[in-house]
Amino acid sequence: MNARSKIIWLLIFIITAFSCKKVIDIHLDNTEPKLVIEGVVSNNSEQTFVRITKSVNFSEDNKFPEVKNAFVVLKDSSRSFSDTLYETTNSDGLLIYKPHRFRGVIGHIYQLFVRVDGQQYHAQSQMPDSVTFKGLKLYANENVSDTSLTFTVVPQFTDQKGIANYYRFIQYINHKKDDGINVLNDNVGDGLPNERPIFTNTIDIKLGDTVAVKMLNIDKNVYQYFYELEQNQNQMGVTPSNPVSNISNGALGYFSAQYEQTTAAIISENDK
Amino acid sequence: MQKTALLIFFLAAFNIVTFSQKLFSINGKLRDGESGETIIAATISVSGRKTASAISNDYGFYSLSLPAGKYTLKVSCIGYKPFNQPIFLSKDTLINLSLEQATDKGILNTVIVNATKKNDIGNPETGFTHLDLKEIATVPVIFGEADILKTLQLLPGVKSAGDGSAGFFVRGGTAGQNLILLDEAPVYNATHLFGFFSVFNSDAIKDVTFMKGNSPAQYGGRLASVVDVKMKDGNDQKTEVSGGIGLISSRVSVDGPIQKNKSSFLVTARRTYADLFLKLSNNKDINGNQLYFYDINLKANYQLNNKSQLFASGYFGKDKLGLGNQFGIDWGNQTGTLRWNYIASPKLFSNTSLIYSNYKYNILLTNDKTVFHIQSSIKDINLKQDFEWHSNNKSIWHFGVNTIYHGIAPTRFIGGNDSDNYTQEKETRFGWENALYTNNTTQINSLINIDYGLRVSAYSLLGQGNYNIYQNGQETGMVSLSQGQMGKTYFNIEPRFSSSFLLNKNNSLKFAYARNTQNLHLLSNSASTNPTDQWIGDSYNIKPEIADQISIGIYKDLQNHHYELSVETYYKWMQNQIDYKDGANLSTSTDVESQLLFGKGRAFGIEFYLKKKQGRLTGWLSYTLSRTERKINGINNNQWYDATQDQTHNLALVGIYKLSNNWSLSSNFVFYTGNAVSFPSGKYSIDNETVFYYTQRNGYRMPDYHRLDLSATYTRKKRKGFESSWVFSLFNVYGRENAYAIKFQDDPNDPSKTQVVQTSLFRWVPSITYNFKF
Repeated sequence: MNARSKIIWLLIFIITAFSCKKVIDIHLDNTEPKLVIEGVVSNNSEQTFVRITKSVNFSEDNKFPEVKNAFVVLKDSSRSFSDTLYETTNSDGLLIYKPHRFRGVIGHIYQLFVRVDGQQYHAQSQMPDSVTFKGLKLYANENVSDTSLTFTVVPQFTDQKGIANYYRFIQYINHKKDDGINVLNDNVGDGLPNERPIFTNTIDIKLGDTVAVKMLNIDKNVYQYFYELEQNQNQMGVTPSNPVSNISNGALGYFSAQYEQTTAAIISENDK
Repeated sequence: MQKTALLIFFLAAFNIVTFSQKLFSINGKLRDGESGETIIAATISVSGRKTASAISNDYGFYSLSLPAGKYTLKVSCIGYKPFNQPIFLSKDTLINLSLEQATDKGILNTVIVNATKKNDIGNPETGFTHLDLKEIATVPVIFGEADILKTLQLLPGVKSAGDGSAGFFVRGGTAGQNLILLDEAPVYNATHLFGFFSVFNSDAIKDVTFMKGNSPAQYGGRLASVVDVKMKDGNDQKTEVSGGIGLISSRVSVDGPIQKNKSSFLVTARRTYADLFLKLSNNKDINGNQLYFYDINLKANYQLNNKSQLFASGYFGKDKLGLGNQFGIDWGNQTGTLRWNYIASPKLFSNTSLIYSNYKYNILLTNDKTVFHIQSSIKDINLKQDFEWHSNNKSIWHFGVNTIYHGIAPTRFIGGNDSDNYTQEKETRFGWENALYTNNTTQINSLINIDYGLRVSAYSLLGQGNYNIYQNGQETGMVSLSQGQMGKTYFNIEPRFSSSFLLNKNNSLKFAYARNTQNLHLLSNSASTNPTDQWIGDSYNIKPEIADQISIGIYKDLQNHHYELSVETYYKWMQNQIDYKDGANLSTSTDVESQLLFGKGRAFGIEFYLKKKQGRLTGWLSYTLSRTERKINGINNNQWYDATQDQTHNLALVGIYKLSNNWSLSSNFVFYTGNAVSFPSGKYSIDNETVFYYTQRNGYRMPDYHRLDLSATYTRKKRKGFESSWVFSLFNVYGRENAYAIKFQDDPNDPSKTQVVQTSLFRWVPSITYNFKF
């Protein structure tokens, strides 16, 4: 439960009468471009890919250089199967590396090898067991600024007892992805039905909207990576830092073998 | 160190053998003739004997030793008329005295931060300040409430944590390294409303002593500072009512005799009512919100006889914020003190206290039928025995013992619904803290004063509980303690020494060294004080924090007491400092100790303080140049980095101008370097969203903070015992947008760009308060 950020929001609400926001200029140092690797092995083979980009300075545009001509290999070490990935573009027009034939299986350990500009990078991830994603429960928030209602999603699933489970959620509102990062573990409520909500960051969920939620069962390292990203995103109080990556040799990014399921709902009067 | 020990021994021996003539003691308590309040820090002397003088202690007790003879007993104290009484001394004599208050004009000429004897240039204590409550009331603050913690932040060496935080940093210490005592009871969270108010209602406060790391041995348990707040005893002559009505809060105070000259009581209460304005809204979503705090101070005392007095005091405070029925947070302190003062002999004063302190917070989240709480608490029971022995006119010994039983419930998740229970099982930790101390203040000759002492502290882990042991973040073992079983005990020896050398009538030089240790630690990874910051005791991983501080200062009295100038420098070494890991999980991790990292710190600086004490215009200028760094294993590649609370420059200017008998104007201006923070240097894309790349811990600065406040006070003449005043104040006169938070994000209008957004609070906050007393 992201209580801290809720407290902060409450605080912000309290002082709304006094506070003001403005865009400012701050001098930030330049940095060397850093290699960023995102690798996903999914039960959905369409979603298995590797993307390699570079970081840019804060003041630059959000155009992250794509790294071509990398040598990328995915290996299923549980059954000694390797695949060398090929360059292609995805539906958004982004450069990605795709396997020829590769589907994630629960319990298997996957390895990623990347070679770029003479540097080698390596990562490993085990696909966790799946937890059945039963659906969405919604509850209406009383909005503080006006009388309109917004909704918050409580994903419905029952955690596995005695096993450390880690979850990540991605929300699509009217087919548009919200950039809010939401991860849960079972430090609280091990083996129990989930009652914890997930939050959107930029898009409000309103009456009549279609909400799709993708639930990912992830491993512990990937959970920690996204937990830290979530903390950074809230940017309140906590001292931000680079999340710990499971990729070697100082690359940014993550490699995750994950089990994904999606459910969707249309927000109706009944959800009030 | 050995040399110092030798010196201490020599001085102590010297002390005992110097007087052989038969001496008698005059002793007793000093009181205010009008209210019966005991008077702290008055000077008691006799005519004809320059060297014979004493200063009344925190409970008004004094003791003066003289050969038999005829004398005129003289008492002087700022704010009171001088007192003279002929006496004939032929045996030990108990004289309880009442002083008459000086007229208004006399009070007008008092100093700002009261330089009574305690802050005199000849006094050995360094980094020591006595705050005058009358003067605190004239310093402008937000929402128009006099606030001792806000005023402290205008002194050199003390840094504010920023708008929206009553947290403060002393000489490079963190907010959790300040010992805040209310009638000897530790207050674990001294803030209301996320820090916009402090928990101290000035109406209930009699005296505040502030020590920056070189406190005498009777104080201990925190590294950076001691704020010793004493509540009023209550008027034992007549019943008084006073209060104030402000825009967002009001307060009332009633005190009076229970039995005249024998016993009295004090009740003060305060409440904010911002939520009453919310109620005015037609929107049920707004008027359903809660937002208030209240606090109540209670005190009663009873004089058993001439030598013995009993006190009971208590504080209860609570904050409550609620967002509809879905989300709420409340937190509060409760403290209670039972105290027995006893004049055991003409030279021996005893103070016995039984103290209770409790702090807890509770976050409530409801969602349909499920109710969650996140909670944490700390509870103490504390027994203190202090003796003050006036061995002769030039030497006062303090010795005593202090034992505290702590129970700390770590932050945990509680709750569920009809079918499921989500409560996290986390053990309450128990600890037993003990201290033995002795301290002596001696006037060696007319030029040299010293204060030296030793405090031995111990902290024992107590069962029942399982303590995990971590090595480099990995669990390597566990110690199980059964109910009442004692685990590891940490011992520390804390020497304290301070001295002053009078160079001439108007100049003195001071030197001080102190070691302080801290067994309770405030886990906080944000710059501002947050009610959800949690306390934790020593464990097998967490060792006592240790600080060694040396300070050297020069003190000057200028233009015949009109001005006072001091320059102090300090250097402080800190061991076993605690920080969170990068990306630590604070609220739901099964053992928060697994999220901690340890290292050391260092702080140094120079503090300038110029004070104008007399005339129509009074006030002070304080400036601090300092540096605070940390080196924590696992942060910033184990390199030194600027601590969050490092503020290079810190300047405060306070002026109070008495315009006429009715009007007085006051203002303050502050400027300080922004806190050290971690900003991103680059950015990259994860999952097609922009995320930020950080190069080092605290490598950047928040923008500089500066602000000017003004206030005007109109006091109506006292009529038939009714006094009243109006206080008009304007906070942040020129509307400086000081940064509260800085956020990095994609530009909502142009997703191809990122932007930096600054949130600031409080531009031009006006307030009006009406105060009355009858």
